[in-house]
Amino acid sequence: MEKSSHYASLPPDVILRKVEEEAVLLNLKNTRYYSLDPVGTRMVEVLTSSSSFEQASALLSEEYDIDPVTLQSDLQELINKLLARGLIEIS
Amino acid sequence: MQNNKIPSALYRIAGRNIQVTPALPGLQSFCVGEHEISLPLTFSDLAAITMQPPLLRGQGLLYGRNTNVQVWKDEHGFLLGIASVGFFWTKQDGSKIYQVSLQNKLSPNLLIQALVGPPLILALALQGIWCLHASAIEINGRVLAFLGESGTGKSTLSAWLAQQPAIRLVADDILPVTMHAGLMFASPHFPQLKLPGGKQYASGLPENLPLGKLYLLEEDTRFLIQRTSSVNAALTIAGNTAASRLFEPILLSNHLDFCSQAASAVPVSRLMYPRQLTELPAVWQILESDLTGGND
Repeated sequence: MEKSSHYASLPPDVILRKVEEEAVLLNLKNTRYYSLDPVGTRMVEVLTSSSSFEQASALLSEEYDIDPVTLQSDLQELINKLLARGLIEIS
Repeated sequence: MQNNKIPSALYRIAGRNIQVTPALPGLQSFCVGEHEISLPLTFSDLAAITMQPPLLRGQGLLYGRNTNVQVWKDEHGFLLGIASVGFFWTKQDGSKIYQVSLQNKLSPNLLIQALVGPPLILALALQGIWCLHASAIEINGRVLAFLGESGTGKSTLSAWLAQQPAIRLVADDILPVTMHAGLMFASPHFPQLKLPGGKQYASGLPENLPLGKLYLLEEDTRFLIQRTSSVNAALTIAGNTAASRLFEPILLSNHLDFCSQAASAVPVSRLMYPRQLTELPAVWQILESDLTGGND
């Protein structure tokens, strides 16, 4: 299987559906549902379409007008939470 | 393959045709056709399938008791084993249900309760109809649904409301719903087995009605209606869908599509009130206010 060129991806057994600006995630392995607020939803969108953590954080820092250090800390915190629940894979 | 032909019936339930074999007299009011067929599954087929570990395990309420349900998948459909009842096979397009092997001396009431549970709910889900744990009423041509597990007061609330002028009972415990052209519809045509005979089927109502609002019932000391966010609405609909623990991944994915679309189509609110019969008139007051107040 060809490896994704994106920094992060959703595992094959995780489904994300946007509901307006927010999102619902379903982990098919344990049938658990999770929700993401608008900022978390946008972070996941950018993480799964950027080639690196730095590229994702630079784009988000610009979008939300937040200093890069704070943004990177928030982004890493979200990644850690998603990883702990098996909701994201880092390439 | 068995050669003995047995009576089979085509039932029209929740706007979908489902063939059930053998036919069930208790579903006669839904029958739209009868014929005779051979059961396509033999006992040896059943033994071969159940030798494998089940794909899914879950629990369902049967006669008020939690009952174990196991699901196996073969190339043409799903085999459901319901503890103390027997095995049912649902075709993968949801068009047919076979009672494959049942316990000896099974009461007709228990059989119909079991069939109207996981096998029928799965068959409808495979046809894009999702069954909510909900009671419901019809008022001014649209449906209000009250979500909640058993014991949350949804049947009592709907039964009381249905005694008010111009309100009709649509569902007591299970409400089939679907999306069509961006709108959510509810179907009153589903056997409501907890209601007394003769009232189990809202035959005077159309096959589909637009769904106006969903309320999640919560006990509280206050009388309050609070709209949920869209994402919480989707989670509420997902969490109150009957038999969803028996859905395999493709069906779960379709179900999540439905929940996210439904959450954008219909407002979902928490309805909080003290759970006492004497308080139901006050509940109706806040519902009327919610319906006319444009809280959408």
